[in-house]
Amino acid sequence: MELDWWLDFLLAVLRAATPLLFCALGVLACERAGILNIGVEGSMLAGALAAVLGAVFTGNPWLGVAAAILTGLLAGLVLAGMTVYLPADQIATGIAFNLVSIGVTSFIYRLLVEGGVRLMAPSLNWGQAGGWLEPLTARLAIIPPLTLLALILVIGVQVLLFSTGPGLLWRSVGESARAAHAAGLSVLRVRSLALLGGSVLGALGGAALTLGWVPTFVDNMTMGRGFIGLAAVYFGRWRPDLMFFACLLFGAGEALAFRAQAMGAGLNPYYYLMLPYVLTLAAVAIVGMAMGPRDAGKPFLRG
Amino acid sequence: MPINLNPISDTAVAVQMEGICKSFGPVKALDSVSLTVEPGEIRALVGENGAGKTTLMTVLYGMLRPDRGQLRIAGREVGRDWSPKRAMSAGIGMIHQHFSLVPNHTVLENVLMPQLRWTRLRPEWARHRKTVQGLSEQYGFALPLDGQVGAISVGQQQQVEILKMLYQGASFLIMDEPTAVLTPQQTDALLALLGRLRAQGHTVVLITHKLAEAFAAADNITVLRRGKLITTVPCEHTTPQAVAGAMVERDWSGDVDLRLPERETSWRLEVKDLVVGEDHRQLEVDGVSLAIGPREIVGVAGVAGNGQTELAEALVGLRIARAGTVVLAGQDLSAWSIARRLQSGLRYIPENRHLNGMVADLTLAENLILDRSESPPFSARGVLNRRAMGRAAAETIADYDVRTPSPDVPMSHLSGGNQQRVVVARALASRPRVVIACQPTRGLDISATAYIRKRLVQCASEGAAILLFSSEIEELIQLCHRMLVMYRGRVVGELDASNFDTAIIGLMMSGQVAS
Repeated sequence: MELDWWLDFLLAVLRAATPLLFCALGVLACERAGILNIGVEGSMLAGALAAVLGAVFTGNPWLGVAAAILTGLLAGLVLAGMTVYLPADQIATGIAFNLVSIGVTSFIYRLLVEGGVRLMAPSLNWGQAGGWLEPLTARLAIIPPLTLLALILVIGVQVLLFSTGPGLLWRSVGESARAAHAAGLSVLRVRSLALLGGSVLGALGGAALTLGWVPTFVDNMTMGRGFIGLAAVYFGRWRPDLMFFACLLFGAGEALAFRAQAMGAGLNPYYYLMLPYVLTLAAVAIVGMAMGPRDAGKPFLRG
Repeated sequence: MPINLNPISDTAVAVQMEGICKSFGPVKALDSVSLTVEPGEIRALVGENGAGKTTLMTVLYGMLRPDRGQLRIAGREVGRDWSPKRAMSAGIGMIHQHFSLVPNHTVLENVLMPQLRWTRLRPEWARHRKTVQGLSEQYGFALPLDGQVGAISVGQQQQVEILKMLYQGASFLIMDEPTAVLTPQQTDALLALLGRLRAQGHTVVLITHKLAEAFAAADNITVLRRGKLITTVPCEHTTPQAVAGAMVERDWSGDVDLRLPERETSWRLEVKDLVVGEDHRQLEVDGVSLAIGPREIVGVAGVAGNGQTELAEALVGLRIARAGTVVLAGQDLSAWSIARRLQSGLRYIPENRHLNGMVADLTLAENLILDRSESPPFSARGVLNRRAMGRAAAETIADYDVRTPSPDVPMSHLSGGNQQRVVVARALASRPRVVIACQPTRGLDISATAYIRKRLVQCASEGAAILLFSSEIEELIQLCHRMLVMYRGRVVGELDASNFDTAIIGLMMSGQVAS
C-alpha cells in the first residue's frame, strides 16, 4: 500500500475518532466528579442536529458549532437538575434522556425540512475562520478545526486533572463526595458544572460528526457513538491519555469499516458496520473489571 | 490562606452552646442542651447509643441546624449561615466515626485537599509537603506521605484525619468514637496523642461510650441521656460507677445476674479437623476440632484475624470448608446449603451486621423474619402474612426494648444498638439448637450489652448450644463454660471456667503457650 493510502487512512481515523474523543471527554469529566453521564449519547445527537441547523440557516458552520454548544448547555441544565439536585437515578435519567432526544431531534428535523429535501451543512474548515488567522490556519489546514480542539482538550484535561490543585479537588469529588463535602467543597455545584461541561462536550461530538464528516442530519445518526465514548473511558481507565488511544482504536474500526466496504471485499456490508461495536465489546471484555472513581453514580445528599 | 505550623493556644476558642433543641420527626434528639467547653481542656462526652452525643457535636460543627438554641464561639453568637466551612475557619474540626478520606488518593493529597482553591491552578506542592512532613513528625506520626490512604492501617488513617484537621489550623478537635476501630495498642497511642494535643494548647471533645477511655484521657466528663444533658463533672471528682449510673436510667449494677445453666454431657455440635483456606497460602482455619453440648456456651478468643471469622462462616455455610466434618445432633451437615442449615436450627449472629446481618432498606419487621420468610406463620403458599410479621415485630420490640417509632421503619433509621438488638432477636427467636454468635456486643453501650448477654445465657438455658466469638475477654469469662483460644487458624488452648486467667489467655492469644 502507498504512503498516501496510509496518510489518508490516518486522517480518516482522526476524523472518525474526533466525535468519540469529545464524547469520551464529556463522560470522563463527569465521572471524575462522580456523575455517570449516560446521557452523552443524547447530548451528542442534539448537538449534531443543532450544528446542522445552525450552519444551514446562518450559512456559517462556526455558528453551527456555537448552536451545538448552546444545545449542550441546555442538555446539561436538564441533566444536572434531574440527577444532581432532585436527585433522580443517573442511569435511568440518562437512558430516558437519550430516548427523548432521539424523538425530539427527529421531530424538529421533520418540522424544518420541507418536501423531503435534505439539509446539507457546509463543512467546517479553517477557511471560514476569518482572514486574520490565515498565517496560522494555512499550516493547520490538514487537521480539521474540531479535531485540533479535541486534541488540545485531551491534553488540557490530562494536565488539569493530574497536575493541578483544582484537578485534585475535581477528582476528590468523584472519589469521595463525603470527604469533599467535609473539606468545604460544594459537591452539588461541582457536579452540575461537570455535567454542563460534559454535555457541551457531547454536543461538540455531535457537531464534529455533522460538520466534520457526514454533512447532514439523519434520524438517530449517532448510532451509539456516545456509548463507544463511554467504553473508551473505561478502556482508558479514566485517564485522558489512555482514553485518547482507546478512541483512536475505535475510530480506526469505524474508518476501516468504511474503507473495507468501499473496496468491496465481498462480505455483506453489515459485517463491516458491526466492526466498531464488536471492537468496543472486545476491548471492554479484555480490560475486564475496571475500577472507576469510587463515588461515580452515587447521588450525594447533603446532611 | 496562611498555614500555621504551630497553631498554639492564642487561637484556641471557647465554645458555648445554649438551650440547643433538635428533633427528628417525633424523636427529640436534643432537648434544651447547654454546654460550655473551655480552651485547652479534654472533654469526654459520654452517653448510651442514641443519647445525642454525635447530634450535639454535628450542630456545633455546623452540619445540622438546631431547631432552637444559641451557639457562641469565642463569645460571639454565630449566624444562621453557620456551616462546616465556617466552623473550620473558626478553628473547629470534627473527625467522624467513618473517616472523610479519599482512599485512592495519597496521604499528602488527602491532607492538602481542604486547603486547595479552585482559583489556584498551581499550589506550592513542595512547601505544602515540607509543612505537612514537619507537622507529622511533630506529633510522632510515621505516615508515608505518598502512600495511598486505602493501603495504610485504620490507625494511620485516623492520624491522617487528625493531621488534616491540624493542617487546616483546627485548635478545637471533635472526635466521634475514635477508638471504635482501633486495637488496644492503637487506642493507647491515640489517648497519649490527645495529651500532646492539649499540651500544645488544643481543645478536644471526645465522644465515647467507653468510660475507661474517658477517664484515661479527659479532664471533664459530660453525660448525656436521651437528648438531655445530665451532668458535667471533673474526672477526679467522680468514679466510673457514678458516671455509668448517670448514663443509664435504670439502676445499674456492674454485673448482670448471669447464672450459667448446668451443661449436659452429650454433644450438640461436633466439628472435626475443619480446614478453610486456599492452596499456596496460609490456611485460615487449619484443622480445628471442637464440640459443644446443649445448654453450653463455648467461647472462642483470639486476636482478630487468626481464623475466627472464617471458622464461624464455615460453620454457617458462608464459606466452603476444604476438609473436615461438621455434625449437628448426629447429622453431618458439611455439604448442606445455608438454607438447610438454618432449617435444622443453626443460627448466626454475624460480626458485621451492616455487611451480612441486615438489609438496611427493609423495615424492622421484614428484617426480623429474613431467615424464616418462607415458613409459617410468616408466609403461606408464598404470600407474606403481614399480620403475623407485625405481631412478631411488636413482641420483639417489647421483649428486647428496641427503640423505634414503629416496626415499619427501615432498619437504617435505627441506632446501632437497636439494630443489633433486632439482629440478635432474629437469631435467638424460634428456639435455635445451635447459635454461632460473633462479636454480638461490639460497639454497643452498657445496657444493650448487658441485655444481649443476658439473652444469650437465657437461650443456652433453654437448651441451645452457643459458640461465642468475642474480642472482649471479659465477656467470654463472664459468659462461657469453656473457652478456646485460636492462633493462626488453630485452637492452641482450651480452658475450663474454673481456671480462666486473663494472663494465660493473653499468652495463648499471642501463640506463646499451649495448654
